[in-house]
Amino acid sequence: MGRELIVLGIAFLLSGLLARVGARFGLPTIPLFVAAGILVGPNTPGPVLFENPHDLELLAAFGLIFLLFYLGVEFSVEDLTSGGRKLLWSAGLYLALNLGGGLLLGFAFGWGTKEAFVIAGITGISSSAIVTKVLVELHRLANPETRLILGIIVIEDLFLALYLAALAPVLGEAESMADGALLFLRALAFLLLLAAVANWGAPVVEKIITAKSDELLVVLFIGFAFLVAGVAYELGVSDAIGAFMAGLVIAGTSLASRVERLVRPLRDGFAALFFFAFGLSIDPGDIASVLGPAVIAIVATLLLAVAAAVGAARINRLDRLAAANIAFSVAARGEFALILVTLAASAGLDARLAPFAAIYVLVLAVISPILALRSAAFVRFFPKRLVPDPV
Amino acid sequence: MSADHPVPPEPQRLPGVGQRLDLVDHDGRPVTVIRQKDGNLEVHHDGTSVDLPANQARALGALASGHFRMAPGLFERVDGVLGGIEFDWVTVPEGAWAAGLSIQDLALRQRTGVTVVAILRGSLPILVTDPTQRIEVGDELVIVTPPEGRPALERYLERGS
Repeated sequence: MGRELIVLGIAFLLSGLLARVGARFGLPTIPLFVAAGILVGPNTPGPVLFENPHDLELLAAFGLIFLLFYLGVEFSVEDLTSGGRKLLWSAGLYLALNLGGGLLLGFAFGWGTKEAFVIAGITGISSSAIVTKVLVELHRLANPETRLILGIIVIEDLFLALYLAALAPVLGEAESMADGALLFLRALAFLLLLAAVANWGAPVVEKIITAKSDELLVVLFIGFAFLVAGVAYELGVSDAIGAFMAGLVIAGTSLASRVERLVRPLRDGFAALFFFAFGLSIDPGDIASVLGPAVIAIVATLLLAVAAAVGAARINRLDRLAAANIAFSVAARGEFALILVTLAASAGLDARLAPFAAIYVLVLAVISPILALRSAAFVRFFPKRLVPDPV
Repeated sequence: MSADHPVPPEPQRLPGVGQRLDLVDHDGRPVTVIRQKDGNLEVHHDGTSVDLPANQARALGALASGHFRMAPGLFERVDGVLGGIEFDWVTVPEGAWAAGLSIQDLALRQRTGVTVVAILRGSLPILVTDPTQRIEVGDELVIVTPPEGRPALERYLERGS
């Protein structure tokens, strides 16, 4: 017990201190938490904090649950509808290009069909955490393109839940086509059931978890989130979707803003551990074997980000600078790629996925904010013919 | 208020960040105000911007509203109260069960946990110090309420339960 606490304490401190140094250079936290895990993992020289990354499995799962639960709590249908059709087109274009590109690459790598679908998810969905942070820190919240960027991110978040359900046969242990279909239907039924609860059952859920004191509210909503996540897991749907849907149910109650405020510190703490634990599982020795595919995927993501941003700028009548800002902010990858690859690893998919995702996320999470900061310098790559300057 | 904008602008949500309010100045130039979730305020105008920390922003809001004077540190203290309290108002709806009854008859504080501090009737604010004050349809009740106290009050005013 004592040893475990000491090791956990060091894990948190190391992650936090490394991220603090990074913050001085404008780097987001996620890649540095992962890097801390790689440094003290069993596969790198120097001190080894955790012989077996699986020791952290449960605590890391808390991180995953709180990340997605928070996303659900924060969700508002208004965010989808207020952007109108232009937002849906822009986000649809973004997802189609990046998901489609990832799928093609996945098949080209030849690691398997299931693996190709996981790669599509990794390349398809941006990091809400990093994108939001970049916009705040670059002081771009009032920019004309910012509502569009945040709208795209919200749709991507929602898409993630649907995609996780669609991946149920891939991430579950489906032996046959029939098995796979059954898993998918079960996942879909579960999503629909919870969507119905979110829509009509919110008052009942509110009665169950409401409390005047923050202390009791925290205890009750954690119970609700874990229970739904656990049931989802047992049904083969993944705890991640369960947690997201639990959050979505709470978003429909009058407790939403309090829960959102209270869950944030829990999410921050445990999510750091989730990223750290992912880092532990990475063997830098494996990186050489996936370096080629990872570099190809990174270049493809950046090119597709530019293409999607040109389209989004046209749809929304934004200028070239706005297009460049969209392209490089939304190119950040982080928590969702790592969540997908963690689920893929526990489903026993190709072991190359983890180091692939590690390089992919580490590079994009670091260079996307840097490129976004200097997006004005890249404006000339956005053809004037396609994105006219504003009148 | 400028003649082009007869309706006061409403803030819009910025998902994951906070809210955005689009205003115009006297010359019709846009002023964009961002309120982040932590209460920090950014005011953008004419290519420059001003950033206010949360407590300064609250003081600005209180001053701009002109309705009440804020004791220094009031909000910090309110946050510190168990569960927080909220300052809000509700309108007494048409056909409300409670219309014509007094604050005392209604036993509002005992029944709903909500305290009525003032009644706005037409242009006339009534500072409620007298519990025999009757409420009427259309009155706006200014209330201090624990979190989620408002729905209970609304139900009670309407249906008496």
